[in-house]
Amino acid sequence: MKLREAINRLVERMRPNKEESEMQLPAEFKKLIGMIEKTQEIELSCDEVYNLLDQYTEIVDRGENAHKLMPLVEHHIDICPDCREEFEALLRILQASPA
Amino acid sequence: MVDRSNEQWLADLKSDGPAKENALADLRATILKGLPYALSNYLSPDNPQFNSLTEEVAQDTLLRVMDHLDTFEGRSRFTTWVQKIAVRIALTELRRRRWRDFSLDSLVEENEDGISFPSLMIDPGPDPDALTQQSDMLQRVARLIDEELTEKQRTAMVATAIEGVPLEEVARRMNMKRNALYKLLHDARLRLKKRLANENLTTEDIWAVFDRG
Repeated sequence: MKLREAINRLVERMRPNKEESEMQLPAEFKKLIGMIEKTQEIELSCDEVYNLLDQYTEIVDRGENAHKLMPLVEHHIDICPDCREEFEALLRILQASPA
Repeated sequence: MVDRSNEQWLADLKSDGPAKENALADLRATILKGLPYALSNYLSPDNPQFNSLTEEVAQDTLLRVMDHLDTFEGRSRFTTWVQKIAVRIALTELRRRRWRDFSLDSLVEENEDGISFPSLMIDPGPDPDALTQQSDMLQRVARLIDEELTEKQRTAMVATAIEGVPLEEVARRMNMKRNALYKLLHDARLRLKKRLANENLTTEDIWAVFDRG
């Protein structure tokens, strides 16, 4: 995978267009740097988060402080798009059918 | 539908006869009631695939629940635990369908000409010095990625972070479990973070260069 070539290409695309004097920075590159920035030494895996996802989603649904109660789950969901989708889908179910 | 406690759900599902049948029917109805909300961002109930997908998901969920009843630890409502399983089964199937034609090989071939970046952030036109700094920074980051990551890590990172392919689908194509792919990506991110630190380059430095304009 020649990521460097991709970034070379990106650099070319950043050159100001003669007609539109705007610099363009792809969101994907920004996302990549953001993910590196958020990386922690210890992170939960997808399986560990899956085991806790029902409990975590109920905490969020009840409006409790998930950030304080389950920070590692919250962090994983912020980083992992698959787990985030599953959390959001489960939360929609809980919000639609209150306990 | 009977309103059951967690203990009642487990007792009914572990029993024989009508109590079990009623519990299974109620659980199936609960799953089917929740799925339209879970899938609302992906598949409309008007879609011809909707009913067959949800029926299939409900059936697979019930089988999995019955196989794993003993693993329920009671940290949530039983129905939430079941819905979680249904969500995983449904989204896994939707991802599989959506990315059916995607291959990592095509990504590599496409990458020979450079990856396309479809969604762009627009910044005000920078002055020439700023543009040079930005180019240099991108080249520097590219070099770090090249030097620090394995081929497998680069492929996974480009596919997930840049192309937006679900981890589940990238993992399937790499013959790995999603869990293992997450660990591989975590290791890659950690390596890059440490390398940036070794080079006395912080992510704030990177943002600062691009905030210029």
